[in-house]
Amino acid sequence: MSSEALAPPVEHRATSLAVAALGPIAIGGIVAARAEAITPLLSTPAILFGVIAATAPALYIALAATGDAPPILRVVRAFGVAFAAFGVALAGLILPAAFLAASSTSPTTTYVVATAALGVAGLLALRRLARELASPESGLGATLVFFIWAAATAGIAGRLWIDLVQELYQ
Amino acid sequence: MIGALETSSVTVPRSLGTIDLLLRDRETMLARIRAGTNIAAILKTMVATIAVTMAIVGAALGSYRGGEQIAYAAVKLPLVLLGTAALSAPALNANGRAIGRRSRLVHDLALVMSSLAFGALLLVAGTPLILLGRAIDLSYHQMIIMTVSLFGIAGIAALLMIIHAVSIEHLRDGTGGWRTAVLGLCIVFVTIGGQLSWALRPYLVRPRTPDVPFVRAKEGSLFDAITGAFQSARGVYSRDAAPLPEERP
Amino acid sequence: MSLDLIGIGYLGVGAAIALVFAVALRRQSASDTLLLVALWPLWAPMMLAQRHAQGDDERELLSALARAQASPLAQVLPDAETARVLAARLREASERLEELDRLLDRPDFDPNAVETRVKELAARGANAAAATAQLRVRTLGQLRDLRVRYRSELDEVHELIAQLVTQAELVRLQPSIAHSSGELVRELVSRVEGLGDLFAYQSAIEDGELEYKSAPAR
Repeated sequence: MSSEALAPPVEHRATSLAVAALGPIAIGGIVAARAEAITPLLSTPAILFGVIAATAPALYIALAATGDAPPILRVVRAFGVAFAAFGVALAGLILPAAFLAASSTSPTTTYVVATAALGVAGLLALRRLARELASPESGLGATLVFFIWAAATAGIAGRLWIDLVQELYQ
Repeated sequence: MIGALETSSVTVPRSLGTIDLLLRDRETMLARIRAGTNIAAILKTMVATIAVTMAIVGAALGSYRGGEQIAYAAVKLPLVLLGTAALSAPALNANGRAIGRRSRLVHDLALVMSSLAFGALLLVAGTPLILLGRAIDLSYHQMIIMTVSLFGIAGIAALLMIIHAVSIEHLRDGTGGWRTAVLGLCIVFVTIGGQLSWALRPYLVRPRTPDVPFVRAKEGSLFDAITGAFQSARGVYSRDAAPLPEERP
Repeated sequence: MSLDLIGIGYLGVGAAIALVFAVALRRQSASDTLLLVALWPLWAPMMLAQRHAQGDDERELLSALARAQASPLAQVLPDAETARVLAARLREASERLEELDRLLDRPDFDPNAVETRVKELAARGANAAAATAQLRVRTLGQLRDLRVRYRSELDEVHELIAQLVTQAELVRLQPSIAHSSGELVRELVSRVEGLGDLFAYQSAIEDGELEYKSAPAR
């Protein structure tokens, strides 16, 4: 399935990108409200976008080294589509997360819910990125590279997020 | 014309025709939603259907204890289902679109609300059983089991309607992601529904209960209760003992 | 946070959204307002989608003209101001069709129901009332015919727009045929301008000035 068939029209993608930028801020806001600290509001988007920005070039280099790299513009476009997908997925989870966090007495619930929302949206975005980058010529090497990159990126972002949450929880 | 039945001088309102269509010919109903025919009217009818039917079911549940509990449950159950729907219905579209499912938000919302309305109508069909339980003095726990079973059947019927509708779309346009979208909706719906119904409890109350609050005092979320139960099962307690009835505030 | 506060916050957000919609749309029914306040996560996207869909025809025309502008067809296209006027007329036609659909879906606008009423009144000997009801049947018939005409005209405009887009691509490959494509553009402009006649016809029906007329042959 070509990405043009999967991807939303350009004007919707711009909206999705905007939501992708605001979504982590909203989740950070939920955590900030519980912790009564402003840090998560800024740290949440910084962690997500910072980690992706730092590791994205590594993915392209590794794919190119395996001989399976798509053209760089297609890779950039794939990341754009995946970001938009992240925003859309998170948009559907913000209200449920806000309700669950607001209606619980324990801060643990807030952090679990926020983590789950970011995790699910991130997983869906990674899955979309994989589909956008896939081509009939892609081999096992490319699949392995993507999987390792995704695990590493998720691990780095997850660790930074958990450190933030633990700092707030104390 | 669907929605307008005639006797010699009586015309049945269109909304009742839509409800009749939902019960008797769901394929046509789903086709109307796919075609986008009068989506706003369908949504309004489904919201009203859920509100009225869940009020009836709530009243039936409340009648087990009687008194003011009939009114309390009749008010709370529509709030639970409509509130859960409002918070979780967009998840079907959001999750699906994230992985490339072609879908329109409004149509997904109409589908979810129609499915919930169908489930609510099935629950209304089960209210005679609830009233029978009261009539033959079924025990509280037997009533709980019957209630959970009825809600389970209605929930599964609603879910099957959603699965059927989105799988048809998948066959038509070939884009994937519908299973993930439906799974995401289920998880969000169960989570939100569980929390909201926990927060607004009680619904089915023992007949011997002297005073019934409209809503119990907030003791924590459903997840707090589940977490606490797990901790207690491991022998980790947050307090020395549970308060006795005379010690409760 | 207590349930009361969550509930008040939820309804407050709903009220704010209802206010924004009321200011933006200026025309909002009581049921829409109630649903916006009580179920804004469902109803707000629904109203936005309806509003967006109303602009689809306008966007389609402007987009097609913009694409054709980049081809050798540009010389036969209407200027920007004319294009905007045409797009606005197309949008108005779509809105009127949607309004007609809503109106004619009402049970009290069902001609069968009114026919039945005429028969009942005639059977009771209320001939004057039956005659008035019969007029209503005729008006409803005119409105239904009008709806068919709107749909037909809009369908033809959509097909002409699609043909314009295709023709623009063909002309890009064969610039020599650009001049002969002028007829297509003239037909499209003429059709959209002709929607004004339908608006006048609709006003005449609604003012009760018009006897039934069949659609003029083109």
